[in-house]
Amino acid sequence: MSAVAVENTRNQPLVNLRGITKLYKRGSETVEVLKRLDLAVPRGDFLALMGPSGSGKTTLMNILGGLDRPTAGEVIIDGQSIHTLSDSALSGWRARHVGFVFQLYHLLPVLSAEQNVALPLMLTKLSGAERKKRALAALTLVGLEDRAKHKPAELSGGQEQRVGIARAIVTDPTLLLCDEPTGDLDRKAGDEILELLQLLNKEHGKTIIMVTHDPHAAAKAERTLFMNKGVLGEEPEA
Amino acid sequence: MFTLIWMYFKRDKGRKLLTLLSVLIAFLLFGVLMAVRHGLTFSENSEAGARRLLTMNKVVLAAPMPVAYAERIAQVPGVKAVTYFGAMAGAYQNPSNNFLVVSAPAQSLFQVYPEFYVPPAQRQSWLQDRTGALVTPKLMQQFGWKIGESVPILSKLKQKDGSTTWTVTIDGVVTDRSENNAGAQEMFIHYQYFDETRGVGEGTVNQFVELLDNPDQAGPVSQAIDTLFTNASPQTRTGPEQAVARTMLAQVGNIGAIITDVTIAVFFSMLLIIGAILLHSARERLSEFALLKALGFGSPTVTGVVLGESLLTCLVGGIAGLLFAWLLITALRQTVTQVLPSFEITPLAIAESIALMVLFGVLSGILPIIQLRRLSVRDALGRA
Repeated sequence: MSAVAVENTRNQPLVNLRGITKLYKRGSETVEVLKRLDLAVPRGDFLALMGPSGSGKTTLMNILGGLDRPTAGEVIIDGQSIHTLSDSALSGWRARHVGFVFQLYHLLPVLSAEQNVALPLMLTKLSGAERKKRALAALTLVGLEDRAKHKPAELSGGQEQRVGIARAIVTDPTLLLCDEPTGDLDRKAGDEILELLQLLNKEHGKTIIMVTHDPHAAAKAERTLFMNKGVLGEEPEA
Repeated sequence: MFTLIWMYFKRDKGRKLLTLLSVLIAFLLFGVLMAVRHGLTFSENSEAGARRLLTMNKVVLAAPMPVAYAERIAQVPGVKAVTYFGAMAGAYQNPSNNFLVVSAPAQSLFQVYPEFYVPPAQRQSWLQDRTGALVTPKLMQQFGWKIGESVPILSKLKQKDGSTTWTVTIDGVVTDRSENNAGAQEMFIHYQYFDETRGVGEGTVNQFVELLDNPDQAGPVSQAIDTLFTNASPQTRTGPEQAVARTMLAQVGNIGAIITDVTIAVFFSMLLIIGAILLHSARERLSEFALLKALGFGSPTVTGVVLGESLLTCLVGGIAGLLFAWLLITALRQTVTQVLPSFEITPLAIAESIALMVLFGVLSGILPIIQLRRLSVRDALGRA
């Protein structure tokens, strides 16, 4: 790739949504959750998505992460149209390009912190030793290297979320999607998680999109968009 | 995928251990059941056996018939030799040391059963000894008898003088060269002594055995024998030795069939319970499987993990169960050899058991898989 091409790629938004519509059937009723939504997220951005329950935030996140498909519109991430991918191709794409951080952590209770973090690496051809090495590096980055052998039940909520973040970044994904990452934590633990996300954004160049209800959490992002009734806006609806 | 299957297999050790134990017991039961079934349906295959017919009372198979029938049967074309048996239950020293005492005419016994071997000197001794007895090696060994020893046999069959103790002399050891009854506990005495001494049933026998010139004549000869006694009382039922043996087993086996049916019902009930446990276990982990999908594990991998864990549980527990069944059957074989001469797990039974384990593993895994395929990842993650 030439220097100009690289520069062009850098200038393109990492996430580009065009005319996204999502319809759900609820009984006989059809609900339009997302309404011809456009969104561009530059590479290296830290975007907070706020909005009331049922506004479509999580649906948008699921579409961004390839966990759901839009009824209409285009989802282009890092230059690739993911809405056209088959289920198996989409699984592969998720493994390579997206890291998920969930509100309820979703750690496997029978695995140690290190094994949980190494889980996405099982999809690679890395050796067991290499997987372990990378998992420990990710745990070190989130400050939990001394808790590597602990099971989730032996960790605090904040520590569990750190393990969740380590699992999200262990494959070095392009995009981090965080769904209420502090929603289940107290203020102190939540702040630590937000600082960690800021660190990943500023020092490691990760593009982060975070759904949150909490204005305090949203304030840690570089910018905030508000979602209301399936439409994105710069300001919260009065 | 195997790492994940192993990981899930090892989780929740307490519940897994109980599930494995349930599968183990179910297949232990199944293995023993298969061995019993084999024992009940096994037919002897000795060449001489195929050449013999058995004639018994038509109404009640073990009921007495006049010994005089023997002369008429011997006249039927195709019958080479006839012998007959009168039997009683005997015991040595105490009633629990019981065995079968069979009385037969000495000469025709060896004609009809050429596979019976008695060393010449012992045979000669028995032929000349009215109260002499031949015993199987198993019986000889069990009671530590010696050749020439006089032994009192306890029986419920009274003698003419009212005594229930039958004194016989051990003249020899009879072995079956076809090895079909290597573990048999039997004593042979002279029919003449038996018949003259017993207080009731004089002049009757329990069965006739005919040696044929040609096994292909079994059908017509059987019919000819039974026709002889159509207008007599009792009438007879004649058939190839193996077929009649199976008929007897079938009569006795009605109780066995009930036990077998109940055992099968218990086995399948246990399988259903195990299935429910496996199903519940997989269902409560739907959000974990959804997480794997979210992380990029494809549907075939997640399906393989669910199915793999279910199969592994059924195979590990089932194979352990079969192993224990084999140990139990080996330990019990000598004890039940007279009732079930071939009490063993056959390769076919092993194959059937493994097929059942695989089938059950698949069936237990298939419902959560269908559920997982229908469920969207976002919904499943939202459930946790």
